[in-house]
Amino acid sequence: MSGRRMNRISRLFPYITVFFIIALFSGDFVRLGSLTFQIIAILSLTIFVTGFWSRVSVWAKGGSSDILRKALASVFSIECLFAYRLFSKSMIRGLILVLTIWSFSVLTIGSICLSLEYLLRTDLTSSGFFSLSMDIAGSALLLSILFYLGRRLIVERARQIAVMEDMVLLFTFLLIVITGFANEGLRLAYMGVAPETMRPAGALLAGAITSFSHNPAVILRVRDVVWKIHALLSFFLLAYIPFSKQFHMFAAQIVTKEAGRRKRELRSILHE
Amino acid sequence: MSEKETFTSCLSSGQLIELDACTRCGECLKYCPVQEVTGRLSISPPEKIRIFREFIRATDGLKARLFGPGEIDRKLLEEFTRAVFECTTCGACGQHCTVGIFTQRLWPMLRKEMVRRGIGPIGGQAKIPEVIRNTGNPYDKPAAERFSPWLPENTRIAEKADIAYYAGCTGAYSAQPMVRGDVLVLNAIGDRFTMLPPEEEVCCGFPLFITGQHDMLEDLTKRLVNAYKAKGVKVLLCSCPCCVNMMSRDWPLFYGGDLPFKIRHITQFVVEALKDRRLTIKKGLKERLIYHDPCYLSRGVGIIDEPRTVLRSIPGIELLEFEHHGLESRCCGAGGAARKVFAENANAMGRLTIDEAVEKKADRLIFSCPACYAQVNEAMVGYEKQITITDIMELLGGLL
Repeated sequence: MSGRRMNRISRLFPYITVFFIIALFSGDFVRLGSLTFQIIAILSLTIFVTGFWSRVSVWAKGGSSDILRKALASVFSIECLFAYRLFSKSMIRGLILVLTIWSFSVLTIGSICLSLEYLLRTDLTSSGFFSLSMDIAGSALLLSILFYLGRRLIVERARQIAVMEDMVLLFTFLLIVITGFANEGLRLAYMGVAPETMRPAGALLAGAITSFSHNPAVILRVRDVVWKIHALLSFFLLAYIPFSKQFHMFAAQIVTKEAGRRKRELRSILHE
Repeated sequence: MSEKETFTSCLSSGQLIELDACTRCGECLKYCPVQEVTGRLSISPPEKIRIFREFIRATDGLKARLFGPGEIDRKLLEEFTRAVFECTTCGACGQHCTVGIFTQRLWPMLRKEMVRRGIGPIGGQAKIPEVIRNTGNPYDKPAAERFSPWLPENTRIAEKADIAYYAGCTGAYSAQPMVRGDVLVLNAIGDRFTMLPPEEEVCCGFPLFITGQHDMLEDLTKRLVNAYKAKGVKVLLCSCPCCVNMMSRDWPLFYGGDLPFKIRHITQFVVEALKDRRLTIKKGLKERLIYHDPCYLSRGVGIIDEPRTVLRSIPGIELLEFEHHGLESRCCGAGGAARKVFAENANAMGRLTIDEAVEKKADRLIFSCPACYAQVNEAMVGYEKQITITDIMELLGGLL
């Protein structure tokens, strides 16, 4: 397909996006919601995979053919999962990075479970352990995001180099976490579940919500909107990651592992 | 060359991944010496990486693949080129990088890309290949003067030997007390050593490598390696950290395989000689010394303890440390072949080194690098603060 023709098609993207958003939120009226949700999910996943492939194929231009194998091996390295390098600079930042990595991983796995549950019509997430894990991970990620935002406002050198993209990403993450919590609170408020120890954050929010309204229809309506905002933002983030600075979540793993190896081998350069 | 041509051709896969790995945390901003003296954000490591990533996105990103490469702003390209050539390539940013990007190797490759595109290098750096081709050194000095002004009399240079000494261009032409000290110490140790004739001891290639002008590197490397091989050399000694870096890290690549000899920094050889009692320091020195770690010796090849061991073996000295030392040392302004083109920056950085040494009440500032030695000497001209500057081997040579 010629570049000019692709360019003409690309001009339709904003209209297609607006159509999908309207369709998603009109779900209860015209029964397009579920289908639109699935189309958006497939589209964002497709964009993510295409973008990921595009970035990795740039890496491969440097001559190494085993990039993906290296990347996979690095993701599971201890130095990356426990942020050894950052810990040596700052205990607090190291701890925050560990919280970010682990909470993001738990939430991603949890979201995949929820999606599978929806697609396979099977129960995967009803255990108390699942709820508690998501609660803890959500709280940890919220704390991390607030730390990163605060650091960009307070620490001069971080503020100096902050660009709009950083803020877009951080606020997207923040909104996803907030709407995630709100969604859980609304769900529990609608179900009328009593405060439980296995989902403390959700139960706390449910208590707060029911103090405002006891009307299940209103709660359900609000929850529907909040859930769709949460899902849309998550899909946006998924599609945006390969085109954004956030792609460092994959690249940094490989580089950190390599830096560890290089540091160990530095002395051997002139001693072999 | 079209500005729409790919920006990836000079980078390895690892370096392309490094560009994507920068989190823009800003940690490196605390340590970049050029940013410290210029105050310009464009020189900062995250900015250089961000802009280069934009170039790659324009020529190789998904949009470029679907719709064709995008336009690159010529002014931005020129500003980036200036920033990447203004850098001293000291690698402090990489040392402190929270991810671990190996910037000491990344910046030279970005420079190489700019050279390939015909935008770099800057100023006098562009003449380096021609000057080396004509004279064998980047200083445009005659080969006949390479050794004669400083080589100690009665030095016995063997025709063939297991050990060879490479003086290097900066030492031979700009830091002669240093290379004289090297040879005095080698003479005192007494092992047979050889040297190439002055017209054969050409540049190691570092100035070409660091300025991204790689065309002659293979030829220079093969000439030198084959010349030492013909002399039966098993260990090649050198005191210049840049040369040692080039020899140990890059010569094997340009030579096309493992070198037929080992590379050693002269302080490694001296430490062994002190340990074996082949070298004894007869005179003492009641002074407070402060040692500056050269970027390409510490971060480059991990030689940190040896110079300190040599200095501590001098009776009577007190050894002080800079706040940032060892792997975390701060650049004195000499690095990256930028000191002549951006002399103001280099002198400002050199003066920061002098300031700290004076503040710590050191009697003498010790170097182990001819470029640092020459640069800080230059920075001291007309400066209110003064300190005695001495190369480690120059000092040792005078105490034997």
